Amino acid sequence: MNELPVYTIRRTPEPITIEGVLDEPVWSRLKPVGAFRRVLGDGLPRYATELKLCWDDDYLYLGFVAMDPNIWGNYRNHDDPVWEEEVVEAFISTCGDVTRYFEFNWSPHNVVFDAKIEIPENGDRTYMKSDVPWVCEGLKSAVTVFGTIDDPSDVDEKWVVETALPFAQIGREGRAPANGEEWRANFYRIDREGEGEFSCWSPTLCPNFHVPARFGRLIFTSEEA
Amino acid sequence: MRIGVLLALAAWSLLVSSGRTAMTAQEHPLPTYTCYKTADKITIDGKVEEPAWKQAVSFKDFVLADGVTKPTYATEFRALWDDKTLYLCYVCEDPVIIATMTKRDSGLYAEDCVEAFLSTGGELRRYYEFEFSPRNVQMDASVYPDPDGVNKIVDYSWNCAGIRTATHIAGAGKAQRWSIEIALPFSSIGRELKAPAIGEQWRANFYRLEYSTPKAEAICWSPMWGPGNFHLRERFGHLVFAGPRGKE
Repeated sequence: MNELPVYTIRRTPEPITIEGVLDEPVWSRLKPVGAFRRVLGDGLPRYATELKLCWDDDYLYLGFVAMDPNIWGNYRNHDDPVWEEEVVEAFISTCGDVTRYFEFNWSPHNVVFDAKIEIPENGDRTYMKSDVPWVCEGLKSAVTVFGTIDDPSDVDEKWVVETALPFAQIGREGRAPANGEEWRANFYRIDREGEGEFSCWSPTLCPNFHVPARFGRLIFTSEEA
Repeated sequence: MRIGVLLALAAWSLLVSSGRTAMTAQEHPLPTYTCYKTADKITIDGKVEEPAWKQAVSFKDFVLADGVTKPTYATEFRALWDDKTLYLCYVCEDPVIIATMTKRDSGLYAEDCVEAFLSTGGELRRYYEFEFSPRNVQMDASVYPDPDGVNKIVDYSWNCAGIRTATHIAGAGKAQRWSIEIALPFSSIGRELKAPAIGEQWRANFYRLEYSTPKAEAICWSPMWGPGNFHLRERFGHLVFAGPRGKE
């Protein structure tokens, strides 16, 4: 399984307001990155996650839809370890060196964790370095819960994350990408029902999210959606 | 006078030649799939690994509904039968799988899926419709077309008792593919709820819907030679139940 997934990120011709609702018409014109797979590569997870991306001069936009019958979270503060509970995540390497990347986590309560990570390509955590105090200034995010959060007595439907990552913080030289520029990335979901399920865009083939060698390819195009 | 004859001849040859190249849907022959009988065991795990599948005819020449355009991604279909069961399998090359639904009898056709339409009586007065998603969710219905051929009653409450299915995902990136194995008991769908006789023929069609391509693709074994209409029963091909595959 040496192949990596590829996603072409198109420009949005219309402004996107970060409100946690993917209602701008451009979202419906975008193709998703494709069903997340269980990290070990052995099938589809119980609960689907769908993700679409687009960009403009200032931001990379991500829209996650996480199907989830029980939406909950205890953490409330920026940089809390929300991955201990239920999250969607993005690891994005922008500088051309896949061993250095930005990590973002979003919880159903819209708690954001952001950090800079360095780790060898094979994901050897002995050599992992994290800069957690780093803050992605200008990051915008919003979450809508289709269900009742923190109430296990009923069955929820899904939660939606709409987020904008500023190129001033994550772009090469603090700028928007050029047409054809390529980044590397992986996207993840943790659901804790039962024994818990870990899924992602490009299977890492081991119980570890931090495997840069398995990051897929993001290709920016100036073509508009 | 001569010019009139020439013009008439020109018009006549134009009429004849366009008639030859632009066949109506009815003029395209229907495909036949020979379904061999197997004595070997098939475990329904979605992997399509059992030696029995080597006995089946492998069909890979799927085409879009227009009868001409090749699909973007490859699909392989096989079928086998034994005294109790019709076995179907599909292997779908699919780098981007679009599948979120989880409830049986959902409108699975709105996302990536494979479909099977089976008319066991051969007269097309009633057929079974099945849809299967990469998440191993199924839709099964019994369909009664009106004699006028325009309307139909789709009975979603019909469930294929004893149906077994399993899906499997392999590869990654461009090499990603999903596969499904389906076991349909003749006690639920057979003519008079029995296994076929050798040589018995049903009418059928086998499809796939793919949504990650720039335009969604309606992928068919027997195309409509026109706009996509999976219920166009006049275009159902011939599914022939043969004995065991002879030694080549």
